[in-house]
Amino acid sequence: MARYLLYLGCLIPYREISYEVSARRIARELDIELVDMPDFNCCGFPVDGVSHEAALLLAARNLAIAEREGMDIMTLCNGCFATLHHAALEMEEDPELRAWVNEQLAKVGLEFTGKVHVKHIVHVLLEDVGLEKLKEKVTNPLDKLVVAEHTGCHLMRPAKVMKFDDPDNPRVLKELIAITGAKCVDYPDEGQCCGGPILGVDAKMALGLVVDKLRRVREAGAQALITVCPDCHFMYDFNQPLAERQTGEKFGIPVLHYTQLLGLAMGISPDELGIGMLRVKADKVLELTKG
Amino acid sequence: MSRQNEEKIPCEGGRRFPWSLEDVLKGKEIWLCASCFTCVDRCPRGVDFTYISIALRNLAAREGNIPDATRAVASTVLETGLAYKIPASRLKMREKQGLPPLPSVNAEQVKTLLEAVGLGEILAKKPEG
Repeated sequence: MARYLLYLGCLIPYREISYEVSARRIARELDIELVDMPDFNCCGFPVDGVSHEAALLLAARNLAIAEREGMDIMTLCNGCFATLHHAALEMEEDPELRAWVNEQLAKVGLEFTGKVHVKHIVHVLLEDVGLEKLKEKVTNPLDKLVVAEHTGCHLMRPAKVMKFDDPDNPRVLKELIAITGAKCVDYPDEGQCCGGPILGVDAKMALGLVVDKLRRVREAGAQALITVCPDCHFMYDFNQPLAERQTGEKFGIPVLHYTQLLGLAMGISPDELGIGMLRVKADKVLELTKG
Repeated sequence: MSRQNEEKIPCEGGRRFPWSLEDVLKGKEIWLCASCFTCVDRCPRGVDFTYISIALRNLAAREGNIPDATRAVASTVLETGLAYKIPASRLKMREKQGLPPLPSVNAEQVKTLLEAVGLGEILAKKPEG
């Protein structure tokens, strides 16, 4: 049985509870034991532009807490995953930097030694559960449903650091979607950023990226968009009405967390997967996925 | 390239070349980088521009150039340890959904670490003029 410390980060408890609800629900079904990570702080990503040192210390504190707990970390967020992963690599590659970080951590009784691995839930589904076991769990194939994928930047880029999938032609999430029985269509620029990190800096520009994506997804004939990151989901779901207002077009494209899609295919009820908490109503999707 | 160059080329940000370092650090453009790392993947010379962009933003921040939203989030991290203050209604919703309570953060400990790198001072500095 896989066992991980669940690192929630900030956006999920703030705005994306449906992701947590569905992730915990499918984890239970897949024998992934999730232990709530105590005393976690912000991963560091939101302050990286202001002070990389501050971001590094925030990440390092999380990693050190996980070490103290003696367990590897699982994140649901691409940004949290990338920030913790980057920080661990940076400290591994630069012993002087690591010594400096540990000097700081010592002030609060913590230490980073590099023992802990950080995974995103997508890695856990692929590596710990495996495609074969996932297939076995699908009792309600979603074969009437057509979706599009958005993997999100920070799971794949930079390619030389993340060493995962192909950012220009993402395949992994498509494979995971195929397991559910849903058809996943291709569309241009699948790897384009959701704009989340610049929403507060220039909302018009960020929402322009959302409009780009939703137009392409609609043109490809998808009935829903599937994400694996709370920030991408926040942009495409919660901010979809703002994007519609900006462009004067109506999209009405439901955006599901992959954990929700998989849960539906596993025959779990929509209520247990937080589907009702989505901002863009997914009634049509539910109609098409009824067992 | 000299500042006196008559032939000025507009760039995407609507500004004109050549920029001075001051223009770069006072401008908004560097904050429009979403750290998507596409440029790092694309660059045939391995320039890793996203990391340079982060370094430039760090320098700009020390001059007081931080977008309001970024300053607000960073201040919340400094104060609470998390990027957002989670409203009581959201904590209630967790309960209703059968989720465990949100673990509490030792905010003082986080603050000790962040103050050691002067985050409070950086955030307190307002842009000139």
